[in-house]
Amino acid sequence: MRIVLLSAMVLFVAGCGKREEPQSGAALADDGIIVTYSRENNSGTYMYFKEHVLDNADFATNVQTLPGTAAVINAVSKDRRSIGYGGIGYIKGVRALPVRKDAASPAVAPSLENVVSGSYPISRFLYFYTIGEPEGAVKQFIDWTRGEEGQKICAEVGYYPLPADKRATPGAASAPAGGEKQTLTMKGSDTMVILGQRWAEHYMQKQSDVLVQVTGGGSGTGIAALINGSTNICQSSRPMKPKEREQAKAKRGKEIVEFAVAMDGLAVFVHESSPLQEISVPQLKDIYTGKTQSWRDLGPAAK
Amino acid sequence: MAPPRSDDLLIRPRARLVERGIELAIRSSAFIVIAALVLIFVFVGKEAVPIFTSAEVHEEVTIGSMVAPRADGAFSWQPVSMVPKYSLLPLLVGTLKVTFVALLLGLPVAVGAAIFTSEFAPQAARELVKPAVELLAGIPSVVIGFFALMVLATWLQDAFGFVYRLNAITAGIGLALAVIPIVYTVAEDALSAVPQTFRDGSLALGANRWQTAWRVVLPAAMPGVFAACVLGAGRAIGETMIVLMASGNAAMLSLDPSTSFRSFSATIAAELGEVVHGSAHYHVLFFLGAFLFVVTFLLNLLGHWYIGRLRDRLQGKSRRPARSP
Repeated sequence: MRIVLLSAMVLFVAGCGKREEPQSGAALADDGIIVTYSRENNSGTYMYFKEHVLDNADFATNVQTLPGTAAVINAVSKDRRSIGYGGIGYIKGVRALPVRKDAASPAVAPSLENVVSGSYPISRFLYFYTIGEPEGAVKQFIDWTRGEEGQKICAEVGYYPLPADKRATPGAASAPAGGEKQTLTMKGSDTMVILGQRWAEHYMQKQSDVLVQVTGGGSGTGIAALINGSTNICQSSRPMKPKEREQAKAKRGKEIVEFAVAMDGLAVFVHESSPLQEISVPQLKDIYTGKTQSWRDLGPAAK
Repeated sequence: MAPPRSDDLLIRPRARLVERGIELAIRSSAFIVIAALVLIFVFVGKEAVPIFTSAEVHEEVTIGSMVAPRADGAFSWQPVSMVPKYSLLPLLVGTLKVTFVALLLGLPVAVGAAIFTSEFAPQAARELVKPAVELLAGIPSVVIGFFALMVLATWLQDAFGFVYRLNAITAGIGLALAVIPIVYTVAEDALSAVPQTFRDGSLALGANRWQTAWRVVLPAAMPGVFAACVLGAGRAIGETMIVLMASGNAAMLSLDPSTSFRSFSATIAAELGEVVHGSAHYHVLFFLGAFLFVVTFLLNLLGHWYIGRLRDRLQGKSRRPARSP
């Protein structure tokens, strides 16, 4: 037993030594391997990237997934061979690349104007969901978040407001009914908790007869809660899946109704010292599906 | 009637009552722990069962498809996909890889430290080392994970030029920090439990302290030391936070310890939060949980059984290794 352990140890150490030698020093700088980082597959961000950038192809097996955008950014900031993606609001210590929709279209920088105008190719909506058409206080609250005032708050918190044609015109505020306070609950995506809470604060100042409670837990958790009837509104950073819609229909007898409430852009970022200046969506697809393995294959843009 | 006496008479039955209450509370707390264990197992098992029985789940995944290679010969873990793929092999290899690295690094240190404190250390050093190692057990694993992610990964990459910052060696070292206190504590107890007569006999026969420790005390305490290692392995396989943070979580099928990997526990932690309830993916995650539960349970059982054997041996039911006069 002891001998087995010892020989295994020797083999292990010998194995490590052999592989590491050629990689030290200068060789490391130009072996060109792309180290890819992604979010975990439970995140709305991952789903979005998979659907809109990879055209639903699978990620390569060597794509590393980290829990949280901050972790991805941290990893990329420490590794000059790496590339990652995440919400635009988080960018710090890494360099976000302008993105081309395809090789022929212009490279667009990830900025507020470009996301809201729709010219930045990888942006998404954030959603509210309800069971059936909302009524009363729920409807008023949702309309308010999608109106002028709600969208202004959205921009202040660091999310992107909806384009003008997607906004709602909130109905006139109802006079405080004087009776008991009405409680609205909202649950779901952690990405949207800060936004939801800020909305709730402002809304409650305006409508003193309404109490809005916001909790996180993840988009999936929020959707499950919505279907079980333990929350009025579910906030989600991904569109609801057909299976979830069916579940809701079967259990509650009503369709799920979707509201786009804000926008979020996905930035693609690399290490500060990376020579790469821009990237196209097809190139991203090749990198994340494992077709492009080396920075050199990206052509002159990456040198 | 003198008041003290009447008080005296009154307190006694009340005290007896209180005592029985406390006894009942203690007894029921023991049963609550057992009940919790059983209930957790029932719950996890119940959610895992549809893997075997549900036709709806079988459309997406079966035990066969989790074990066998796919049509293209690849094993891949892509649960969120147009065609979900649930090969367990990359996760199993990843889990074993990091456990192996952690034990390889952790066990010699922990057992060595235990031998040192129980056999060689002067009293002062012993009083410093033992609580220090045991304090290590109190560090939350998320802190160790963070340390591995932020500091260790950079050091190791600079030193060895790993392509992947987060890999089985980085995570294995972090995991070793979690394993060492457990192995150390149990192994040290086992070594200290060897009767002083064994040492005295060996020294009297002319053996030096090293020979005594290595040839007499360690073999006598071997079941306990082995049990410590097994308990450490159980901890390493089940530990979640450290591997979630420091492994990179790429489900690569590779034995190379310098590549990223994805473990069972980290997979559950990462994916369960937003999985669609009642979906095939959900049941697969519970199946993984049940599997981990069974493995760690068996390892713990094995460990405790060996500790029991040590006790028997030291109580003289079998005194094979040390035939001291």
